[in-house]
Amino acid sequence: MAKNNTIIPKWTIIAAAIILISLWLGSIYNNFVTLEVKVEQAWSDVEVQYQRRADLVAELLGIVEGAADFEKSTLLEVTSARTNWLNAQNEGDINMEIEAATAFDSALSRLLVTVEAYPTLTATEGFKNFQVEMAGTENRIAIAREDYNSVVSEYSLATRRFPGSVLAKLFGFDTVDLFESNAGTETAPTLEFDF
Amino acid sequence: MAQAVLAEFIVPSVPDEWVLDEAQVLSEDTETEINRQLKQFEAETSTQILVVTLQDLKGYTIEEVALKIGREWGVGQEEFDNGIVFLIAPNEQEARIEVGRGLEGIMPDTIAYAILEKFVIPQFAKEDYNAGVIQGVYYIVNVVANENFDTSVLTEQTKINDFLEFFAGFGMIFFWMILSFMSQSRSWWAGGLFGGLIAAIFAQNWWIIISATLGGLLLDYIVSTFFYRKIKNTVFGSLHGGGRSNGGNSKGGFIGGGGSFGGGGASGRW
Repeated sequence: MAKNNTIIPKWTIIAAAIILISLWLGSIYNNFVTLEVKVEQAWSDVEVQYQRRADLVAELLGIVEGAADFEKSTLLEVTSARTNWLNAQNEGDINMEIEAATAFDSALSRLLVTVEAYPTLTATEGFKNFQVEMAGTENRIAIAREDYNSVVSEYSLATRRFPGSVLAKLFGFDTVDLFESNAGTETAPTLEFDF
Repeated sequence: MAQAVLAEFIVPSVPDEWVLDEAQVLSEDTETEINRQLKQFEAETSTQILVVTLQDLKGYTIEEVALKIGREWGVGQEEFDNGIVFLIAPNEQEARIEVGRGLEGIMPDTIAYAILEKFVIPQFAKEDYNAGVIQGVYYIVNVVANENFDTSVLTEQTKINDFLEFFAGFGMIFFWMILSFMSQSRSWWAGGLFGGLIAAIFAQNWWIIISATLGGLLLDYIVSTFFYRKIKNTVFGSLHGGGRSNGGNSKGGFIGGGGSFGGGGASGRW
């Protein structure tokens, strides 16, 4: 014997509201997850490009160490900066990685500046190829960082603006920092090509 | 690297040919010939190579502009990331071969650079843009022709799209079936159970699970009480009525969905 209700009682409206809210919460949560995954992917792209550079630098160190009278201190700086970066990557701590990466940037710049004073080194075919690969890698790093930053911005906007901010905390989504360079390291190590 | 706002560089609109000679440095014959070659190459291998000359880079680096063009126009197939942008800026005296991610293996930076250094730049230095482009295209094609892409995958994508659209239609029917199922009995615990289960599978988060369970319970309660046995199971009716909204090929058009670019390639100056 079902009652024929033409008037919807108050509590039904409340019930409908609760259903709608849970659907809404679900979609917000999924959105957060999507954005967070994008951030993770973008970060791993950055790591890949830095790894590429670390490998290149290992090659360069090989070329340079051969030069008998090369200034050892700059070599050591780059070697340890590279090791620091590799360690940071193993730890998986993004902030530590960013710090190590920027230190790597500056040590490498200094090394390249020093190398240019050795024409016997710079004239070799091996070094020329290194220069080309280096330019390509720097380009990729810059792009990976920009892509990462834009994805992080999307994520931050979603999780820091109201009401997303409240829900993000509730659901456990942390803030993520942009990849910002320290002052003086914005300029990538410059390489001259002679035609 | 200039910290200029890249968003302000306005990329020309997507062309409908493989050569865009904005700087007007190529002859008609060259354009036609290169166009023919690249069109055929894409038809054979799905790899998309575009030649673009620009009047003015407006202060941006050629790397930035080439990347923007590659990404905005979606050069290359989405499945393979096999796009190349051969960009020439006569005004700035710079040229670049921008290599899509899928081709970085077969055309590493050093090879792209070698092509520019040996065959392209010397011609551009003499202001012979026709020769430079012809040579450049010739060598680029030769290198990337060795990368074979499984083009049968391309037609499969359309089939998958059609299947997904059909499935979405089923989703609607499925939801309706659930509602009618809920309305068959006066008990309303099943909705809660169902909601909670689905939430538990897709989201590892207590708040979601709890609210989905409550939501499910309430939905079932409402349906069971007020629409008891009133939601007919009109599955078969829906199947006939619900057609596919988009029957066309969604991957049509000049640019195949868009390959991705990560900054590979090489630049040259003269």
